[in-house]
Amino acid sequence: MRKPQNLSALMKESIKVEEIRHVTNSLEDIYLNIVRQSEVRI
Amino acid sequence: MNIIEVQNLTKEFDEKTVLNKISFEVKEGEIFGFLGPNGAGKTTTLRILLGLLKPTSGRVLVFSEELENHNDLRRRVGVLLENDGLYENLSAYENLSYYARIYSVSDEEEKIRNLLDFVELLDRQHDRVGEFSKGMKQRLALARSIIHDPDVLFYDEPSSGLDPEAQKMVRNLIVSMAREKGRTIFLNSHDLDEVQRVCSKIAILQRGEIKAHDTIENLRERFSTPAIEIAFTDNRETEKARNFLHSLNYVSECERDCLRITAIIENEKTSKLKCAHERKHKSGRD
Repeated sequence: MRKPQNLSALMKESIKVEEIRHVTNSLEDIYLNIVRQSEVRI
Repeated sequence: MNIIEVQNLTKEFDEKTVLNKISFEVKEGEIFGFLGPNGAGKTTTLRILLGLLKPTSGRVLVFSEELENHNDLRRRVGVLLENDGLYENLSAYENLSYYARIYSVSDEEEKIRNLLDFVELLDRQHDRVGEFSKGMKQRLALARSIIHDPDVLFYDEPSSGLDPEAQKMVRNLIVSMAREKGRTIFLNSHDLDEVQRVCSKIAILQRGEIKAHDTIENLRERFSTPAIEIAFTDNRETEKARNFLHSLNYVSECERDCLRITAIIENEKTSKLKCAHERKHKSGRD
């Protein structure tokens, strides 16, 4: 699994980046992930 | 201490299983969010918890007693469902007075004034409820739900259809009912922002089954999709980065907003899920 840190490194190499930060998932994101996961299992 | 305990609860209507062995518990003082898509079985669960429907099988304990053995359940619970239960031709004070008499509340006058003060309607106490805005009615309905000092409150979409300011007031009232007055709250809601702000624990019901039941923090650890936000110094760099990110096969979504880009990073699990999800929908269309 590639993690966001790898992406940060790639970005820094090629493009001028001011800031990179991790985004905390909202409850809406989590809810949609759970519901989507359940739909797939059916 | 568990205030509500649901064990393997099943409900069938004409051989259709609406709830399939669901289990969860709600602890004292908790604000518990009960979530799920329309038709998931949330209202059926709520109706069973309130003793309005009988389960097909399974157990429901409220205050550590079997639901069917409860004689004083209605006295110990407060309810606010879709209908606010208010009389438009009566004043705010008269509405609360009506419910206070139903529950034989002592010190009725003082109690009503305190509650009207709590929901910030004391200066409108003699006005007809028919003249109230939806937000004011909902605040009065919240006061109505606690007129008899219940230990546990069942709220079904309490801020649905309210404007943002009224939503905030209702949300603050719910939080203070739990934190300052120590009540347990079962909150049935579609408003995920509201749930995130007020609930300590949630359960997600889907197609009659509990898919997740935990604190929001624990669920975030288990079900989050890694995402990053990147800020750039100018337009050219931002556009270059957007094209670059689009070319990466492990970046599933990439959204630009001025000089910022938010990117969703796929991990193995979410990629597989997404593919399976797309296949399922494609086969559905075919």
